[in-house]
Amino acid sequence: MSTLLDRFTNDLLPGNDHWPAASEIEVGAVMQELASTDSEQKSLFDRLLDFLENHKERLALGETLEAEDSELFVFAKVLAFEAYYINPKVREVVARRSMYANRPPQPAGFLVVTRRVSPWNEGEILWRSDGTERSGEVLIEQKKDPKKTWTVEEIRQWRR
Amino acid sequence: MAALRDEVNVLVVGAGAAGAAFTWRLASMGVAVTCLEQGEWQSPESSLTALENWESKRLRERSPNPNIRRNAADYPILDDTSIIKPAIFNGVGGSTILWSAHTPRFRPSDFRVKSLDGVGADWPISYWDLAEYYEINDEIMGTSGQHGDPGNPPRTPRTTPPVPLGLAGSRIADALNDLKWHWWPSDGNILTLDRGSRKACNGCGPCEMGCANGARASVDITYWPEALALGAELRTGATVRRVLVDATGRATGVEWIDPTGQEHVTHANVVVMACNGVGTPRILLNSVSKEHPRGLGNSSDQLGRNLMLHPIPVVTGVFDEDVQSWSGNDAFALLIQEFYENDESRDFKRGYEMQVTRGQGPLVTALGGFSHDIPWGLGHHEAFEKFFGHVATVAVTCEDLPHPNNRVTIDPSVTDRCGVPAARMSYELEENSKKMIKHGVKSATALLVKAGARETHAKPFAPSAGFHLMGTARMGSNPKDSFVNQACRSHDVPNLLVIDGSVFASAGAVNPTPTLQAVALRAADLLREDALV
Repeated sequence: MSTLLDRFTNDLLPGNDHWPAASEIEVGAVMQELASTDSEQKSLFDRLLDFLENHKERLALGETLEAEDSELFVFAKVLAFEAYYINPKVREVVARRSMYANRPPQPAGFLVVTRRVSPWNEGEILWRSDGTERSGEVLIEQKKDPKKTWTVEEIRQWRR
Repeated sequence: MAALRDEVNVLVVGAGAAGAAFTWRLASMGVAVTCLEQGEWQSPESSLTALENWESKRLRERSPNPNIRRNAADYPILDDTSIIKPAIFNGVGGSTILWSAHTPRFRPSDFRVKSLDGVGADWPISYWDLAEYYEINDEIMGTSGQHGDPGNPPRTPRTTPPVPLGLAGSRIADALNDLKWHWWPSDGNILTLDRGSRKACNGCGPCEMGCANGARASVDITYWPEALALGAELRTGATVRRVLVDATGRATGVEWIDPTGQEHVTHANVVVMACNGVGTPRILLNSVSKEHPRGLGNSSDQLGRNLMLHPIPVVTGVFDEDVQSWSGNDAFALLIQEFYENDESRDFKRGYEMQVTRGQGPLVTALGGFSHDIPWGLGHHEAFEKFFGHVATVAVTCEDLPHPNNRVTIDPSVTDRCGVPAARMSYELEENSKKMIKHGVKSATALLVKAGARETHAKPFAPSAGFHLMGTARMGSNPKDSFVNQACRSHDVPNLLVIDGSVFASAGAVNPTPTLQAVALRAADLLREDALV
């Protein structure tokens, strides 16, 4: 069965000069392990194994499953991608081929490279009155000084 | 086994965004408040983002969909009749445990959609009734941002400066300036500087998986510690089955079950529902009695109806430059409200906002992110490298109009672990939403192209984005077409309150959490002012 799973997962995630093929990092075994934590997933995984066994003479197992049982294919694809992309060897390739660091997001976090850009219309009041007197009063005040620093006490006065 | 009985003063059901704010406010006035929460505490240290397989966890135990996650505290929500699937969390903190903490406010016109634009329903309160409470909430939650937005009424200086735009955000800000479209740095409950025990955001990305350093607020680390210090009581593991009433139709308390299966009856002077736009109607519809045969307080037949979810079309742009789109808080940096207000020249009513999302790790990118499609097979690795780090996604939050057939009902054929019938979501896109989505996709695509994207990929709506649950016990002046009054009290049952997103009469086109928290704070003040507690 592992040969069939290897064939199937290699259809989805073949290797090249930079990236390992799914079978090289035993994606099939990890899929089985991931699916075993949930009864629904285990049942779907068993269906996948049955499907592969029943279609083992086909050359293109990925294409066959996608054509004949799209729901099962989506399950299998997500599970295979999950098993592949959490693998440390794949994360190393991701880091080598991008600016991503090969580590979890925490505790170090990531530096957010940015530029300072200011909105073009900082002084033009744009919100729409709701038709109340209060709207009119606040609009007038805000237009007078769009950058005024308001206090909670001033805002509290707006309440009916 | 006989039920254990006790008696409290004010009983809040649900320890999420609204329940926490309400409890804190009453406790701060010396009122005795008890809150029942079916889930447990989530420690910030349990954030999964420090694990090597964090992306796998994101798909499983941190899935926002309770039907996938299936934690002990989760109840089934049947969603085969809804094109948008539920995204909630059950535990102390509620859905703020897995939110991305984007906190724009409703605009004044959002409370007057019927009067101004002839659609939906007006609220019986205005923006001006809530403004003070928005400020109180911003202070407690800790809000980054930049005051002075001319697109909204004034607010006080924010707690910390806004989150950084990032490389993609900077490009998009430049493009917005070129297009002369209004934008502003977003408000968010994410600290960019240390504040007490909470540390500044370090740009790790997946906010909804929990924030190990407390930069991203959730009410378990903001409101709850203060509420408990003021004497409020919080009982976890308490699954409420139904609200009880006496012969006069008044609420007398709730029936609940603890994790051992022991049944409890807690009597109260006031019962306050804060279980979100699905959980609250579910419990009330299950609270059938001789006096309330269609569900508690449901003489209007409005309970569960008018479910509004915010359809969210998404457009992803791919850039030649590596914009490091895996870095930075994932849901927002800038808010685009150029198309927010009603415009009679368009073929739809009301409007939408746009925000720029990021923070996609390798697995999410490979699975297609928000809106692109990466092939499997021979072209996979090349496509992955083209997308990973090189994308920005514009999410378009469309105002949803209330429709009575978009609703929450109960389905007794499926029950939770305590035997309580499941909720069922029924939701379809209305014509107005479809037209708005089309316009939003066109705007987002034009923006990304202007920002330099060499290709764009659009999805008409995100099917997993059922995180804004509104309208199912709406507020109004007329008891015939609304469930609660302007003080969040049931028209039929005066000592029953609903304080979560269920009470929204309209949806606005922004994330609802600060508004529902402001509504909850105000409801607490009115309860006290009217000497009901």
